[in-house]
Amino acid sequence: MTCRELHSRFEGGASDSAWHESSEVTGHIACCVACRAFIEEQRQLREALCLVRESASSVPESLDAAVLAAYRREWAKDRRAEHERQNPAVMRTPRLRVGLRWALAAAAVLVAVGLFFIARKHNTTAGVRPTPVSASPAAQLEAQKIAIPSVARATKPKAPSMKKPSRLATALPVGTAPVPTPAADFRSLMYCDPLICTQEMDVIRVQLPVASIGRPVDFAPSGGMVNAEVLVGPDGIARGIRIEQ
Amino acid sequence: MNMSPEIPPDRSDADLLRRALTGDESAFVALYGRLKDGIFRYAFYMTNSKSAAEEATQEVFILLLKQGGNYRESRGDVGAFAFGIARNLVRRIERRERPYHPLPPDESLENFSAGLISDGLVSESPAGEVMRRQITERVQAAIATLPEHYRQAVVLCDLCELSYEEAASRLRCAVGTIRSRLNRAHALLATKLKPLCKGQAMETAGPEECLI
Repeated sequence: MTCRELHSRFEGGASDSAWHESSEVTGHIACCVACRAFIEEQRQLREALCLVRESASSVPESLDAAVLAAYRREWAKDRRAEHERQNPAVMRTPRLRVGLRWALAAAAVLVAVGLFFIARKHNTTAGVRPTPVSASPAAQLEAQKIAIPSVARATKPKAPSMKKPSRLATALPVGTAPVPTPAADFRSLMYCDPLICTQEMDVIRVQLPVASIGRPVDFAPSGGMVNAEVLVGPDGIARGIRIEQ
Repeated sequence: MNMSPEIPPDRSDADLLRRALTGDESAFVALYGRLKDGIFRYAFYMTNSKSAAEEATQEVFILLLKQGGNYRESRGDVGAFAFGIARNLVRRIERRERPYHPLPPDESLENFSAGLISDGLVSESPAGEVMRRQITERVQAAIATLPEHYRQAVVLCDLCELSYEEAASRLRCAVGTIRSRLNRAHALLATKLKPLCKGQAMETAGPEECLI
């Protein structure tokens, strides 16, 4: 036997002890150091693997019980699923309940969100809408002072909004001075912007001492008094004034 | 759940599986008894962990119940089918445990003293028992360092004691492939466990040399 034959026989699976003790193998390894070392190495490896095999622990009983319990659990689950498949009403009721709960929750959320947006929109438009600025007490007092000497309530008429000055002029009754474009002739009082007063206003003609105007006039007033027209809103607050020459 | 009184021993694994899938607990117990040792040992040797082997074995039988409907008798026996499940589970466990389970360095194997395996040391005495345990641990560590396909061949043929044909059936490859993998694995193991053999090899070496 040659080394090559020994190795090929060994690789072919002939590694049992009978083959090792056969005459051709023993005869070869008696004169071949390398093959003797190889055979010895394989023998020791086989013994080591045998030791590992013998040291293997057996399947613990707890595993047997666990597997059996798992089998029963799985089978019970399968049986329950099959039962639900055969009786759909049994399965549907809890699912419907769950679905109904979710639908109700979603509807509640939608209603809450809708209410929130509606309230927000309402607040936003209320903020944008021009609201009459409440005059300060001093300004109100001043307006009352201005109104007190009124000689005549010139109009009860429809004093149109400041956005439509032409209508204001035409709406004035006969005998009253036509009011030109308020935006051009009327001077806004400090506490109010007349341009945002969209409601009807009255024009009141008054006589005022020059000193109460608070600024010099470019003409000579007779007796220290000047005629003026005051725009008064429906809330009673004076919004504009025009000095007549 | 159907309970059959007893299972004849000549009943095939495929028949047992069919009955187990219909709720026959005794058939399942019989099938489990036939397959559990091989699967447990395979998982134990591949993972080198008893707890992982238990986990894999339990999972194999649960999956066998869930996937048993996919089994086709023409494609192999139930043992091979269960082994395929076990092999996938072991791979998954190895991937999961790899970061936490460093392999021992080869130096530890090199430092292993020569001659431990001789009959005098590995005896029935307490010292021999300690030596035997050490050798077992070293060999298992060496097996764990083998590439997976070599390790599977060693585990199935050397440790689970399957024949080449059975191992080829489990691994779905040719018998010759199993042989070559096993020889290559043995050569690698012998290299890794060289210190185990060094002493005796030197003692048995004679003055003659191989001339062929």
